Amino acid sequence: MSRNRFMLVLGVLVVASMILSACGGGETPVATPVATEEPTPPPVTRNGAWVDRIVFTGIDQAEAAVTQLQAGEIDIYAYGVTDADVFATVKADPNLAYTTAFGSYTEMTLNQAGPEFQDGRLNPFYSAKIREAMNWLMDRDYIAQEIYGGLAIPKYTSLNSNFADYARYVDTCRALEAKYAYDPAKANEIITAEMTALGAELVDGKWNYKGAPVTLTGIIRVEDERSEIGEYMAAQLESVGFTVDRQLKTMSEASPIWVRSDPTEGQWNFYTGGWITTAVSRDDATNFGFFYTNLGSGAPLWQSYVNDPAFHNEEGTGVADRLWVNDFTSMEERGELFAQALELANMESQRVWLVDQISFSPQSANLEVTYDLAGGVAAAQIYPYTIRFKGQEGGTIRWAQPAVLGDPWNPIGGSNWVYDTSVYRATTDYAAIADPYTGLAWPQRIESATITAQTGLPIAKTLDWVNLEFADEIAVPADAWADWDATTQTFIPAGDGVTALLKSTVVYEADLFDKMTWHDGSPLSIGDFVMAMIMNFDPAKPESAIYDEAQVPSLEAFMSYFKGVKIVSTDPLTIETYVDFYYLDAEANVWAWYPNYSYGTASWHALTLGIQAEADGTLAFTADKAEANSVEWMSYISGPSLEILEGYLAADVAAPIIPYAPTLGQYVTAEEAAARFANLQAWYDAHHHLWVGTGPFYLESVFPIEGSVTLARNENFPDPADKWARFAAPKLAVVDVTGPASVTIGTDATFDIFVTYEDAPYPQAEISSVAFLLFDATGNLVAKGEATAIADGQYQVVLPTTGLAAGSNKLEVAVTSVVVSIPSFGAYEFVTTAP
Amino acid sequence: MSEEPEVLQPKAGPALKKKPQSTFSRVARYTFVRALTLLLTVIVGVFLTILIANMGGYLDEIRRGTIQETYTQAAILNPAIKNLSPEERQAWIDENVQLAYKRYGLDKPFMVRTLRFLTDALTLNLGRSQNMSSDTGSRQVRLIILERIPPTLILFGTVGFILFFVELFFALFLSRRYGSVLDKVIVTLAPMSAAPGWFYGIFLILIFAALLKVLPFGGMVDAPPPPRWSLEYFLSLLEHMILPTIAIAANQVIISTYSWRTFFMIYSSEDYVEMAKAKGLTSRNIERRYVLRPTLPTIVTTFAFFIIGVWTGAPIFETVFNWPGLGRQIFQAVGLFDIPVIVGETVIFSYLLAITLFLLDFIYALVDPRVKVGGQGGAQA
Repeated sequence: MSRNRFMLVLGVLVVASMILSACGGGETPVATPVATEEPTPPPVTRNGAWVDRIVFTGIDQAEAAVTQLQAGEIDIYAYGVTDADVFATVKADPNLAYTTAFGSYTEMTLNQAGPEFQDGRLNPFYSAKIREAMNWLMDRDYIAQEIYGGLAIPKYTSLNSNFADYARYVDTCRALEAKYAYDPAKANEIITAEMTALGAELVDGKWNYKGAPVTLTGIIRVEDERSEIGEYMAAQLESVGFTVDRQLKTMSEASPIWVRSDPTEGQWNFYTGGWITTAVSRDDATNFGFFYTNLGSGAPLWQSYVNDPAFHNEEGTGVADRLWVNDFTSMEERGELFAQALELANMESQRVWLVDQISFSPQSANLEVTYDLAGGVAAAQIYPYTIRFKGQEGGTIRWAQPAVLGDPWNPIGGSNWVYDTSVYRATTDYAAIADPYTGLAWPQRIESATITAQTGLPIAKTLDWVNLEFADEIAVPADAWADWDATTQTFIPAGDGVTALLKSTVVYEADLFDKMTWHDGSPLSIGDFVMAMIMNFDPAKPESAIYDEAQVPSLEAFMSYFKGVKIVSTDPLTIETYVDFYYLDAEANVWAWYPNYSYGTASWHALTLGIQAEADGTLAFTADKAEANSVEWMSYISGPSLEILEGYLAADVAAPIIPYAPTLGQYVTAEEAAARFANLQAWYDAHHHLWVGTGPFYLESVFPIEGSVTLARNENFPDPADKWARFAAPKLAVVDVTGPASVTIGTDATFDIFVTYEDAPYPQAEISSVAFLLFDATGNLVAKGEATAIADGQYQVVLPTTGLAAGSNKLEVAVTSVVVSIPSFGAYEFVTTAP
Repeated sequence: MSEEPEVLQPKAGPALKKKPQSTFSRVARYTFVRALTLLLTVIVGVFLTILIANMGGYLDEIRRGTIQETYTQAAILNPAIKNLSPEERQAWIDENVQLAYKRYGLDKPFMVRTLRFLTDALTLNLGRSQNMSSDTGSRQVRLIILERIPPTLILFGTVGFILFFVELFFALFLSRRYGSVLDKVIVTLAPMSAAPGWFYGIFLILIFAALLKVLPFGGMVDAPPPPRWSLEYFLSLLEHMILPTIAIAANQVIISTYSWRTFFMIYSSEDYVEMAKAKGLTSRNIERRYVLRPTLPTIVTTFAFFIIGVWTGAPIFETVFNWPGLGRQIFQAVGLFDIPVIVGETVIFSYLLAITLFLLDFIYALVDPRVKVGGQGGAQA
């Protein structure tokens, strides 16, 4: 019965559906043509950040973070991970992606003292030839591939292979790389000759000196891959007859030995050195002086360095000395100095460079974020402007890093932990913003900039937004502010007859003060700029109410090259800055004043609270002063400081003040002051902190004990969300070289070079150089030069083969781009045959 | 003839009858001596901690080396400093190094600093840290420690407290069912406790957070946290406590139950318990009067040490669960050589331990009539 009913119902449904489908529609479906072109995306209407929120939390371990990424619990782990196993996990997961950074590098630091230490032991590394031989003894490819699991690139010079100077002098660097390729037999030969000359003898395969084995003490750092590198170094040294005493130590334990001990005491022979760069470097000229000569540091190790006079001498005429002070008049001359310095530095080899380390930052595959080639995501100024979910507006990004909230936040002397800077950076806006792929500055709030340099200075510009001019003399206006009188609270004018090497004139956007507001709603004003100028000086002046001796070294360094600053106009804001200091890039010489301080951003009115607290001795901006006065280190976001600052805020709301009134009072009205303190009070009531910036995000909430910070999108941020979209990914060129497989010696051979990015020709305007290097069958560099441009993405090299020996040759092509500092390489092997 | 038996013992002289000591003076004397002994122990312990934490003064060398290296690196990281003349750059480094020496007190002799540390510590003037900040950004050691006490107490205190009594009564229950299936299960599973809690934690996280995605990976509450003192916050806290609680329980409950159960069984087989059974007393009465009561000193001692044990936290466990507890903080302080924080945490623990030991003597006397504070012979505290 029931079965019959079921069949009846089913039958009715089938019939009904047939009738409905017959009646429905009315139009016969027509095959529509498939779109062959992608629809044009609608214009972006969103301003400010792409996402609504970023929630920061701490996760100690990279493995745990990747597990959480895989589980969809977080969206990004913004930290430079170097674990090869974790890297393999991330690469194998299609739902995950990663960005890379190249800021760390490792080397073998050698103690040059000798030939004997104070106790009579022989130090083989006294010999420059033995030090140089270490270059052949260390297999950098092994270190990069086996120890770092591929997360490293062999390094042969002090230049980072991803930064500008390596790209500029790539031919010299590649030639040196060929010269110093792993060759243990050659190393052994040199070491044998030198050790014998030093009076040592080989007994049963071990070097002895005065009847005792030559024992090398290696200080091996244990915190990272350097523990394995140290073991490898030791094994290689043992393979050529040395006895090695491995001393495994942490940074803290190692520092007193390698940095502070007298090298002649012989407490160590070699050390597994490591260095870091947190931003793309545009100028590494001082590397030679720093790493190889006593110019580098007053520490005993550096002071023990003895150099070839052609490299460094007390008269300052060595190549390292000249590069140290930019003693050259053109980039060509600089190139010649670099070529000599690179060659001589490896012959000196107080340090044997091993690898440029690659770290990676894992993230969800649906996340898009800009990263800095040196500092990764967390150190990229530009990440807050570009971070987003792919193809999506809005959403909350869950950002993890090893920790959050390391130290108190205050703009003058607060936290410098990367875990804090990565967060408060998003609350900051800039006048000029650093290109994450080249290190060059781009205008963010600047309409135009002009650099006037003294004639003869080797400054060049790359980007069009900067005007570069030269003048025989640059006079500093007599009324330019050159110093600060903390007693009268007025600037000290430069006076007559002062000149400078460089003048930076910056014209800000005409609507700057109309469109930019602080997070509490107060409009940005000239007062904020003047306050930034005052705070550059005041805390380091003994007469100041907020004098802090910890600020003195920085001001002294600043004053050694600062000549004056002048606000030429307030509408549009135009500021001239005069200095006796310059960078090679015109863009880097733009003095982009903005109310950003060493440790974050601040309005003049928010800063006033801190100044009042410090003047009263209830809080201190810096850790040093807080310690000296036994008061709290000031925090604008949490802790006991807030209660104190809140008290000053209440007082200032009741009776608004203008700090540094003799100067700031000329730029700030009483009405503005009253409105600003009222705004800040309202902000504090709503958010319970006093961190107020102008950036694309504002600090929404802080949970210090729970370890969580939330940033929310600043809806008043004026720029469209896609303003910096072109920095979504570095434009790394792909190089393909083709040509004849076999060439008869004496004939010309033509090779084609194709340079592409994402399968499209790389625009010629974005290419700065396509250099070629020809290595013969023995690996010697026999020719080099520039390829000829044929069209966008197409270049040609015509090689005369006269003089080449018969055999296999390699043509290597190095392409350097204007828009990314990492050079790209391509190679082609061909055979030369006798005619 | 009879002779007096030889007295082998020396003849007793005039009896020197000892004047009975009043209870008050006995207790007062004992209290004074005990307190003094404990105080001396604390002083020695803290002094040794300071010496060890400073590596007998070698830490100064480490600090100087680290400071020098830090500012040398800082000089090349900052283009404006890097490109100064050698003299100016060295002056910048030297000035900063000297400021750092001053900040760490390296401008004063080691022994002077050690004695100052000791005095400050003993007077609970915990001072300021050298490297660490509290979660809210304060450098006061007092706040650095205080801010981590609530999370520690919430997890280890609450869970430990509950588990302690669960174990106790479960053990009591088992002691009466020796040889039962449940008893055998407990005995069999006892070796589970050989693995630490964090070990179970890793597996629990992998199963319930990574695989099943039903519980959080770690942390104290969700991120971003719900408003404090709200129901959502409380529920989130509870949710985040589930896995740590299970991990602690997996590590602790069975072995503790097993241990207590064995302990109770020994007391349960005493003659007076058998007598009580023979007299027909109820099980509840036997447990309360004849088993629990004589074991109270041990229970109280264990409980007291559990309470002060919470102070030390559990660094690895807290790291696995990303819990902001005292253990991770101590671990961090040791890694940073932050002597004031290390000393601060140690001195508070020392005082807690000393006070606990001191009070236990009196508690024993209160809960066990056989014990007499400062008494001679027999059971005494």
